[in-house]
Amino acid sequence: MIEIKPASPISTNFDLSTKPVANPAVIFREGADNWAVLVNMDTAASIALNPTGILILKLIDGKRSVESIVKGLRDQFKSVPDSLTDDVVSLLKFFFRRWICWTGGPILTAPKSYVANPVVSCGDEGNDGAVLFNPDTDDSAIINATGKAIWISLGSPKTLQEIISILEERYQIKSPIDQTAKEVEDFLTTLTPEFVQEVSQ
Amino acid sequence: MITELPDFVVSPPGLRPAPKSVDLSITGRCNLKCAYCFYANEMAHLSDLPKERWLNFFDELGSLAVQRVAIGGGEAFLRPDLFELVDGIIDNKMRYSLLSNGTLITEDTLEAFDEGKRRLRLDSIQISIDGSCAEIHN
Repeated sequence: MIEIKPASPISTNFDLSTKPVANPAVIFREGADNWAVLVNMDTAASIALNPTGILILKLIDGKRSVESIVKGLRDQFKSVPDSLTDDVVSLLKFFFRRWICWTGGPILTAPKSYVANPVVSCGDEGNDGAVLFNPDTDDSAIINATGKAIWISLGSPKTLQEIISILEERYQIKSPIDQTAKEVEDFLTTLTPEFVQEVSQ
Repeated sequence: MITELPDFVVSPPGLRPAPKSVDLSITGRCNLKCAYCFYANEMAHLSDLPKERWLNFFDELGSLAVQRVAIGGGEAFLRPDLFELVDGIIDNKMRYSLLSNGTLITEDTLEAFDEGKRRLRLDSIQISIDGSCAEIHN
């Protein structure tokens, strides 16, 4: 029996029972050199993936857990490095951040778009954030600088995925992608419908 | 020697970069001559700002995210373009209130509030009552 040891800091806090789901918006093209190019059609972001990465990506089917993906690799190859679990987790975290796959769940698998309510004014308070004001309902909300960045991005409809990509470009986000998505969605829910509108896709 | 002027556009700490509300006198004219009011003597002969100037000003207030405009005078309802000014405020994402002596408000005036968001964005119409009985008020 193969023993999987989540021993290092990379995989210690990672739930190995997670079942990653491939993002259907990502197109996968394998080249002659055994590398592949992945293009996320929602964000137009692209990355190159080496043969090992391709192998792992092909094992992501929404049914296999991370644990079984690692086991599958161990079964497939006679010699694997001791750090295999860490390596797989590290790559998956990279995939999560680039929205190549996600961990499933209602937040990320049911994408919806958000847009700033066009009647709302945004009073810029510099580094303190901003004050949103809905003159129709006479409601106001104070948001911090991160909230302001989100708000400004909502001048045109954005999915949760796109909003997080924008935040990632601007800030170094260290929390897990699911947690970030939850926090951003909570923020948007708080602002809906007075300040932010949901756009059905 | 001053080598660099401070940036006066930057608000001092603790101050908002723009006010939340603005009180405006859109006309110096009034149909009454209340004894206590300086408008009847000092302001009535001055010309009012044209509509276009006010609308440009409302655009500026909107860009600063001002939330409320109180419209007074003189008597605001003397301006035939009053509701165009109101619509300029509404278009710039603000709410408004009106100060009036009430004497020019008619059924037609009230109907005009039904258009667009004029009623939705209206905080209040303040009517001046300057005494407890007609003899004192008038």
